[in-house]
Amino acid sequence: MKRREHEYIKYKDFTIYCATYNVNNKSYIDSPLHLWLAASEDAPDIYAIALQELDTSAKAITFSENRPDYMWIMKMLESVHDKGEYEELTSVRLVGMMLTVIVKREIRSSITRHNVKTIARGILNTLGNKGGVAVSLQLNEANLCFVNSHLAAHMGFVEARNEDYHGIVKGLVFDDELRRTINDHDHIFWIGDLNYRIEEPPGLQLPVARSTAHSAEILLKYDQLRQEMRKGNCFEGYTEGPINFRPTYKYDPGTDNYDSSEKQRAPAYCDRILWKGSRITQLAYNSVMDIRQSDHKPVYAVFRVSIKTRDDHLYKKVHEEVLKLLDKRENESQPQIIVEKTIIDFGIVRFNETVVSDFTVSNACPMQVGFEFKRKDPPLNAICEKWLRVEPWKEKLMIDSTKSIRVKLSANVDSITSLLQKIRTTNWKFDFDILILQVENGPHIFITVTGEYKPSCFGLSMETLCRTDRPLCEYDQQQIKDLMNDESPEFRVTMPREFFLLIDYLHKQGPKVEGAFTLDSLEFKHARNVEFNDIRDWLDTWSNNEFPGTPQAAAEALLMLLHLPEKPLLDPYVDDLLKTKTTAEAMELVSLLSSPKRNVFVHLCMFLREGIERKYYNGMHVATIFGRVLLRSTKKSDDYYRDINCREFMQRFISNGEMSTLSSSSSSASSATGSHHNHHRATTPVAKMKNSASNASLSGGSTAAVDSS
Amino acid sequence: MAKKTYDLLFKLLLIGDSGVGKTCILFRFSDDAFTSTFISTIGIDFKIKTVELRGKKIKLQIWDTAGQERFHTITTSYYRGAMGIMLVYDITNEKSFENIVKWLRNIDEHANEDVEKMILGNKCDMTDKRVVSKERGEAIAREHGIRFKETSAKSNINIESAFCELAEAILDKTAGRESAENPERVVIDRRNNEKAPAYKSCCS
Repeated sequence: MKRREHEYIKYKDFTIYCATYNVNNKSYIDSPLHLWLAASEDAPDIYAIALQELDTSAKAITFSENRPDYMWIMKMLESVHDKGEYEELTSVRLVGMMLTVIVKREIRSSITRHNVKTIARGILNTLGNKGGVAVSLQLNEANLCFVNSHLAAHMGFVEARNEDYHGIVKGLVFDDELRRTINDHDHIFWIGDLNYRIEEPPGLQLPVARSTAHSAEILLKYDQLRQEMRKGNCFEGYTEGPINFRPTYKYDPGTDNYDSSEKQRAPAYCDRILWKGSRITQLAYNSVMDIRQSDHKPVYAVFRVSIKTRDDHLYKKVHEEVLKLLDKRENESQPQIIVEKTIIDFGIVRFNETVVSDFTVSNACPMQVGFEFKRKDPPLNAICEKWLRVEPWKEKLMIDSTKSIRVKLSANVDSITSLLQKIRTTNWKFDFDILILQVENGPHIFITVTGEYKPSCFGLSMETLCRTDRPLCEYDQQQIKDLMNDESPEFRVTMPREFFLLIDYLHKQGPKVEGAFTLDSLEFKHARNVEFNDIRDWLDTWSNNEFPGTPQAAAEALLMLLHLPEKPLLDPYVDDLLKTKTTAEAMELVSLLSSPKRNVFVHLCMFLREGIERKYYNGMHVATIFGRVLLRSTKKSDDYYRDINCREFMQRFISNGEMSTLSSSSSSASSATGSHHNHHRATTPVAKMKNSASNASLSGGSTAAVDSS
Repeated sequence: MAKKTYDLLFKLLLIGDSGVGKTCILFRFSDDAFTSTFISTIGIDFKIKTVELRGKKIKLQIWDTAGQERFHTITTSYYRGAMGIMLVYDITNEKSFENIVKWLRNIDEHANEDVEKMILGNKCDMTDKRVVSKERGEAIAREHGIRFKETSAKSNINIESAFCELAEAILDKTAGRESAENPERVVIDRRNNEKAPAYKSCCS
C-alpha cells in the first residue's frame, strides 16, 4: 500500500496560525487580542496559541499547575478570526506555559488523533517554570507537532537555552501507540519565549538606539538564536522567516517603550516561531505593538501547509487492487504436489495374499514441499485401514523431485475380520480405503484404494457359511456381502462344510495329529507360508483332492475358521456362559445359540474330547486355546483371570471326567437341533453334502450331523 | 508476509453433489474467472480471498470439497473446522436438489452447532434447462431457516454477495462474542450486583 501511495495521495492546503505571547502574569480580559489572533486575511484552519508566564507564582510552580486556564481559552475563542467557526481541540499546560490548539469546526473530523505532553526544564529539571508543552496531532495523513517552550532566561545563558532545547527534543515523548518524539512528525512548529538575546553590538548603545524602526536587520546579526543555529548548536533543520518587527522584549508595561527600570534590560527577540518540515510556506510573521499589558509584545506567524491527504475513492480502489494481488499471490504460491494416480486398483484381492502398488508424487512448485498422510478420526486413528501399509507416510520433496510411495494390502489373519466388517457395512461402492495425502499448507488429495475382495471361508460366520450353496470361490464380493447381511433363520446345511471337511480330515489322521493344538497355535504360523493358500483353495473349492498339507496345518486352519469371524462362536452368551457353574447349566444356554454355532460347538467338543482321550493332544492346551477362541472377549482387554475362566469352562466340555454329562447334554442339544430344523430338513438333504460318506465315519459325537441324514 | 494482513480469519466450506459447480463458484470468487471444462475435485482444495466488511479486513479461507459420493464419509471430517458452509445444488439437476436434505443432515451430524449455513442454487443462467424452481429452493431454505441465493458462476451472478453475506453473518456472531468479552460488560454486571440487594430488600 505504501509503495503505491502516489496513486491515492494528494496534497491539500491548510492555513496554520501560530501565536506566542509571554503574558507576564497579567489578566487579558480587556486586551484587543484579535489584533494578535485575527491578523490574517482568511480564516485559518488551525491555531496553535502559546502563552508563557501565565502564572509564575511559587504555588503554581511547586504544585506544577497543569489545569488549562479556561478564562484564557474563552478569550482566545472570542478573539480568533470571525470568518470561521472554531472550537478548542486541546490545551496543555505546565505552570506558566500553556498551548491551546483551536480548529475550524469543518476540519475537526480530519483530525484523527491528538496527544499532549509536557516536559519540565526548571530547577533540577523538575520544576515547570521553564520547559515545554506540546501537542501532536494527525491531520489527514500528516502528523503535526506544536511545541511551546519557555527556555532559560538572561543574556549569558545561551548554553542553558541550547541545553533546554536538546532536553526537550530528547525527553519529550508522546504517549501514543508509536511513542512519537517531536522529530517523528511531518510538520513541526516550535513556538515560544525562547529567551535568546541580542549580543551587545559594537557602537550601539542601550536601549534607545535599538528601538529605532530599521534596526532589526543590524540587530539580528547579533541575535543569539541565529548565531547558535548557524553554529549548529540548536534547532537543527528549523527555519525562521525574516523578522521585520522590533524586538519584542522588554517593554515598560502599558507602553511601547523599552525597559526604563534600573535593570535597563537590553531589548531582544525573545518570542519566536520556527518550523521544520516540507511543504510549509510562511505567509506572515509579525508582532503586535498595540497590545501593551505585558513586558513582551505578542508574536504571530501564518503558514500555508500542504497536507498529505488520502483520496478515499482512489485509496479504496488501490486498496482493493492490493488485496486482490496479495490474495492472488498467496493462492498461486500455495504448495502443490502432483500425484501419479488417485485411484489404486488392486484388482482381485485374495485372502492371505499381499499385493503391492507403487505410485509417484512430484513437487509441482518452485519450493520445497512437505506432505504426509492425514491421520483419520477415531476410532481408526491411523492414516489407513488395518489391511493397508503406506510407506513412507511422511516426506519432504525438494524442488523438481519425485518420490515413490508404496501401498501394500494384505487381507490376512490380522485384518480379515475388520475388512469383512467394512465390506458388510459399506452402504455404497466399497473401497478398501481412501488415503488423504495432505500437502503442508496446501490441498488434501484423496487417493482411493480399490479392488475386489475374493471371498474365502476365513472370517465368515458359521451362519454365513451355512447359507452358501456352492463353494466360496464361486462367490464374488457383492454376493458375499448380501449373504453376510442375510439374517433369516434358514440355513442350507446344519454346519459349515469347511468346518466339517477339516474335522473329518483330522479325525482320519489318527495319531498323526499329535503336536496339533499347542499353545502357540494361535500365532497362525502356517498361514504365513505360501503353501497355506493351497489349504485355503482346498476349502474354498470343496475339493475332493487329498488334503494339501499337514494335520498340524489343518488344525491351524480349523482354529482360524473359528477365530476369524467378527463374533466368537459362543456369542452372544459368552459372558453368561462364563458365569455358569455346571455343564448342564451351560448347555441350556448353548441350546439357545443359532443352529450352525450350536452344531459346530457340540461337534467340536466331541472331536476334541476324543483326541484328548486318545492322548493325541494335551487337554490343558486344547482347553486354553479353544477357550480363547470360542469365548473371545469382544472388549480387547486381556485379563489373566478371564483366560483361566475360559480354560476351565472348556475343560468341562472336553475332559473325560465330564463325559457322561456332555453326552446327556449333547443328546438334548441334538434333539433341540432336530426340532429347530424339522421344517427345512427336506430342503437341506445332507445327501447334497459332499463327503457325506465321511459323516458316517465320524464316530460317537457325530450325532448332530448324522441326525440330519 | 510475516505481518498479519487481516483482522479476522473465517474458514468456509463448499459442499454439495458432484458437478453442481462448487469449484467454479470458488474460482469465480477468488480469481474472477470461469472455465467450462469439468475437472472433478479429488480431495480438498482451498483458496483465500480477503474482503472488507464494516472496516474489518476478513480473510476467507474457502475449502472446496470433492462432491463424489465415494468421498462423502471422508469429507465430513472437514466440517468441524468450518465457521460457514455453502451448500450448493444445480438448478438443472433434480437429484442434486433432493440431496440437499441429506447434506443438511450431514451438517447437523458433523459440523459445529453454530455453523452459518447458506444454500446456493447454482447455474441459474441456464434457464432453458432449469428443473428446480427458485420457489422450491426458497421453500427448503425457509423450512430449515437457512439463507438462500440462486447463483451463476458462469455469468457471475450473486457469487460475491453470497460469500459476503455468509461472512457478515459470521462476523455478527463474532462481534457478539467480542462484546461479551468486553471488560465494560463487567462494570455493568457489577452495577447489577450492587443493585441486587436493594431490589431484594424492596421485595421483602
